[in-house]
Amino acid sequence: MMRDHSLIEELMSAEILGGLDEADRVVLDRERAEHGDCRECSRIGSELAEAAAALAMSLEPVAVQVTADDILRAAGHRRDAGEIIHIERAPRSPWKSLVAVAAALALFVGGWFARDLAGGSGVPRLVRFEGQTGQLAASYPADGSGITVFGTGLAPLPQGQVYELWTIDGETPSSAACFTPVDGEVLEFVDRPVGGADLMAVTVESSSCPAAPTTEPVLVAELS
Amino acid sequence: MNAADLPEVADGELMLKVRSGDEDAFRGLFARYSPNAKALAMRVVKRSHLAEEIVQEVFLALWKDPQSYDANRGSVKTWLMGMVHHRAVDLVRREESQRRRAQEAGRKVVEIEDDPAEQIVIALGAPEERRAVREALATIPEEQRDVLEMMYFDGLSQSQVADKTGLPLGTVKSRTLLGMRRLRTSLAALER
Repeated sequence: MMRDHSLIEELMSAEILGGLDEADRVVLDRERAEHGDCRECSRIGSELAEAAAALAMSLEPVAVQVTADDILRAAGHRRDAGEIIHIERAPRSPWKSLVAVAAALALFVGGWFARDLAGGSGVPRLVRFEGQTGQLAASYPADGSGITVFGTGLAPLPQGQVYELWTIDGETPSSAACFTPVDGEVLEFVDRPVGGADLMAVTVESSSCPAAPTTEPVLVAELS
Repeated sequence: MNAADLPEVADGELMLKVRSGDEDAFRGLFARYSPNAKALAMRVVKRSHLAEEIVQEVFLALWKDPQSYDANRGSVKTWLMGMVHHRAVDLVRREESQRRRAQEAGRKVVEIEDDPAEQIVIALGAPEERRAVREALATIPEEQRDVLEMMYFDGLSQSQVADKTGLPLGTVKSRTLLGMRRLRTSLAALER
């Protein structure tokens, strides 16, 4: 007759989820010792591990900054155990990024000179977005009459999805624009007022550009 | 073999190639699982740069010591996600312990906050698998699923879950057992 596995199954379930209390670990160690080389225990353990991994796989994937080549480079293609390695993300097309940012700034500054000459008012404000993907900044005049967005290194999106820029006044988001980076770069003038917004945010949305955000922001800038 | 040509290659085969030093096989596994690994680490540690470090550590460990993977104990995916989860929970608990010590010393402690900007979502990975797994999760009664998620994603122990929810510890334990049983059954049904 097969031994009862309900207790060890209960304890292994908590262990695989990372939730086993220390007092119960003592019990689990004792149970394991008593079960010994137990095929049923191995089966339960494998199934529980697969179930826990399934919880992980239910999450939406997140863009990783480091690449496999960064890791291979850092490892020096060697496998000396115990070596301490600090991984730096390899610079990607620095000239391209610099050129893009410089071009954006030139256009932006040039635009403002032209605007000032034409009687525009105020010193433009520049805000930098914080978040995970790339580098994004926005400029807008003191009277908040339009927004210039420029950035590099933005993660590519699958077909049918775009980045959507929001101005947020209190808790009310207003759609400002949708954009799709080309080679990770974007330079857009958005003919929408900043108004009384105290935040700008960027979300990933469907290309229909919904009127209200449907996902969490990936980039946020405070307009203080 | 090029990393771009790898989608049809089984994980186990890629691991065998990694053992023989095949960099493209490593790139293939990295492309396949690093976004999910980061998602898991982010969910547990809540901060992108720490999640990134965990992903780096895990894949570096994979490259440097692929022999530590034992196919008899589960799939490559399970092994990888297990390593990510273990490191993430360990980090959260270390920080929790440091925070407690700091509080006891009367020092000001900066609370860790969710950063909504760090939730970038991209359509990588295997959406079919994700959908199937979510369907399997949906078969678990909510009160059981909540307990599993508090332990797995928030790094709480069963007694901490009991404290947080006000449930008796025995109830937390039985919900853990029943929830995992249900999940295993649902996943097994998916494979058939």
